[in-house]
Amino acid sequence: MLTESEPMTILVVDDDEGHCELIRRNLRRGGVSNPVVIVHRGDDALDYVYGRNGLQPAARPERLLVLLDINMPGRMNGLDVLREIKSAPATRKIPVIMLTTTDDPREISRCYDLGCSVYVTKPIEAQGFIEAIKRLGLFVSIVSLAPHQADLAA
Amino acid sequence: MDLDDRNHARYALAQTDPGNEESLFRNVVESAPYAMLLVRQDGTIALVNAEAERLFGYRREELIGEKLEMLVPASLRHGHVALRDGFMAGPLSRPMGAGRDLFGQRKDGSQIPMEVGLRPVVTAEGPSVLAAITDISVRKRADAELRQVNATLAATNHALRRANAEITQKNAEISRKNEEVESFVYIVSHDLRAPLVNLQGFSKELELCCAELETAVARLPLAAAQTQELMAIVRDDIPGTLHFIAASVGKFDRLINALLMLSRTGQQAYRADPLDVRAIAGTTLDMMRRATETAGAHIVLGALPVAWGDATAVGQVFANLIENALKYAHPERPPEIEIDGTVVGGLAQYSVRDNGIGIPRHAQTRLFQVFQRFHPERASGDGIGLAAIKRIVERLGGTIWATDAPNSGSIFRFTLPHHRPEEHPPC
Repeated sequence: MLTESEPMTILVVDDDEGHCELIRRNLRRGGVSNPVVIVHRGDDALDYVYGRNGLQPAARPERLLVLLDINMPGRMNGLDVLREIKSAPATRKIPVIMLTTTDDPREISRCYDLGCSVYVTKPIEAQGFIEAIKRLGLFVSIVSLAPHQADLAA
Repeated sequence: MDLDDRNHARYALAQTDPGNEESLFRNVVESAPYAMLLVRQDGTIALVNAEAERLFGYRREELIGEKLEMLVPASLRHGHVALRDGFMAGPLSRPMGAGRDLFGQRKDGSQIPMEVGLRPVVTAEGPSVLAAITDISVRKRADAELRQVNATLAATNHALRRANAEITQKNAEISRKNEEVESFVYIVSHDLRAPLVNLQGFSKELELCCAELETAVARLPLAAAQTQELMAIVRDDIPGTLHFIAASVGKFDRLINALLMLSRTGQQAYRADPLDVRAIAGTTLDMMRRATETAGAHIVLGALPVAWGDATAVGQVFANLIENALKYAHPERPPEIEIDGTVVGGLAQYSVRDNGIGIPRHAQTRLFQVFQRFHPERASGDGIGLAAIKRIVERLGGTIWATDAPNSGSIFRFTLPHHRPEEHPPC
């Protein structure tokens, strides 16, 4: 079910191309048919969110959902990106789902301290995403079940 | 002798030869507690007392009338004559040899360090000098010993300080190395996980593809033999291959998890609380009741001394050792586990003894290393338990080791601080 306004855009930020592809497939499999934008670096993610460096501004911040990997090489890792997004009033309300390869309790608590909404541990499966998105209360606004998925669910 | 006695003696002396001051003088000199010599202007000895005889080893008749220089070490005699003449030319009461060490020579040739006080006196035979001599060899020896002791102390102090500096440096090095290892393990664990997620994820994709392929093949209008051939690939070959990949990935994942766990064990902050270790062991046993009962284990919990440390960590140590005892139980007898403790040299020492299959000889040295498994056929595991336990115990300030139990089985022993750890370790 699509909402009447523009659909939410999902920004996937992960340096590992394989992970990005798996996320994309799993989102589809989970029935999420929203536009998915994939970037591999923290800088690129912020450029996209703020519409810098010639990138079109994203959908309005309130129509954006970010899936953010913690461990990324380069100037900005996932925590830096999260900190930046959560410190700017214009973007503070963007829901951020942190993706990590570890369940290190200290890392988890650091993410929550910085204001992440949900935390998903890789490997990520369709079910994990659906759960995370449900917990964000965004299920209705982003998930549209494809017919064969509905059949499978029945 | 108190004052009254001394007065009495003087009166006695005076009475022996009343009016004779010479006699009184001789008596005073004689009774002086240090060596005294009366020397004429030309350097001959006119009078000595008993102390002087004792000090120099001459009888007085050997000294009187002789030149004073016979009591001066041979090498100094010549110079001494000039000094003596100089003093006689303008005699003043003074200590002799200011700033120099003075030596006298005994009859037997040995030399004595001494202090000499000089006082000019006038006698019937003309101007003379009264010399009072104190043997300072004891003091000198004590001084020398003191200097020696001081030097030794200073050297020891220096060595201690150097050792201390070395220890501080080594400690800094160790903690830096530890930090390096921790962050290395952490990074490796993260970075190893990333490709693993892909292996896992895309294997899953392949599995899903196979399912779709199977449906598609089933719909194809093919001869039965062809369908069968394709189905064999889709149903058996590919899933079989995927099974092996999944098993390996799963194992890889467990190993990484274990490494991560180990790295966290090194990073966690531990408390330093007074611990009722028997209660901790008891709680641990309660929590493991199901496992121990299933194994039919007989467990004896002895009296355990108290310790200082972190209750959770100590519980983990017991849990791991008990778990090991269950895992490596002997196939022909139910496990018997005996937990005991004692205090040895200010450390609380605990033992967990079992009657299991014991530790193979070749395993002894590598027992506490990471990823060592010595009975892979006996139990599943990551080979990380004992390595983690060793880290915990060492971080709590103890050590852990294992030995064979007398009648097969093994004994694990570990120590913990029995007394409150000092907040500032002595340096």
